[in-house]
Amino acid sequence: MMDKVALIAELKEIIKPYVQDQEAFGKLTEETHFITDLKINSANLVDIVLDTEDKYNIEIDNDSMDKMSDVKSAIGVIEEKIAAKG
Amino acid sequence: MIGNDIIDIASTQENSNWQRRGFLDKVFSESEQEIIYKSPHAFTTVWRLWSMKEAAYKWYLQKGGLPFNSPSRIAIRLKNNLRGDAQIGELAVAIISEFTKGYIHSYTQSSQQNIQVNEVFALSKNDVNTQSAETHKRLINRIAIDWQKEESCLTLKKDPQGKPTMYFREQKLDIHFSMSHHGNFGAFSFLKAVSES
Repeated sequence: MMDKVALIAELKEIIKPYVQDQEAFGKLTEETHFITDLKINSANLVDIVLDTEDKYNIEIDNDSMDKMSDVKSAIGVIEEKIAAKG
Repeated sequence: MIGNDIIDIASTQENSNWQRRGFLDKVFSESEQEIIYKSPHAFTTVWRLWSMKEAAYKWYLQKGGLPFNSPSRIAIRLKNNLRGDAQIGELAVAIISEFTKGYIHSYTQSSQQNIQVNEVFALSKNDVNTQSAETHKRLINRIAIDWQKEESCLTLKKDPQGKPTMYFREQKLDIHFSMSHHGNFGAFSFLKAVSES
């Protein structure tokens, strides 16, 4: 299992190109919400899901995508999917 | 209840690639993808369907629906070049889409005895703070005129449930509206009741 700090750093790299509120991005915590805080548009949320799938070679189904609203839940989904790969 | 969504075509061309691997499968059902593949204007069709889903989703949230991220949970059917409808679970709503060279604007259509106002306007700058501030200002301005209220007394705030709500001084106004902005365009839709019945 990757440690959480490293995982958050990687997730930040994934979401960076889509962030519209740089100030909120600078203050990012686990509670940061993709849409309400970072102002990421919903089409780009799909890009983030696809980029995450590519990076970790995992598949994020609809139920998991529905959970990916903030940093904490996204990390949770990634950890869960990596663990499921064995 | 009402929902709308604006798509700036130039911004979308610049910032989104619907042809990237996996994108269509994440967003659209097989039958929706068939509409896209059969369309002579795939780009416009993709983003028309997308904006219909967004408008339907906002309407659904106003009805008290639980939030979700996955656009494939919303099913779209097109009737003609202007009209279609969206289905989310048990709920269905009619949607109209208007196109220009610059934008696509989709909004839910009220079935009740209401006058619906839909407005699209250009924004002065393409950053989130300007987009949001100018869109709010335009809506407040229009509501002040239509409800004959003093504009400086109208404010947009989130109600305790987090839903954007119009207030006159401290009084919550029962106005159903939806706002959207993207790139260089802002838009809103709202309902004006014709009668109490």
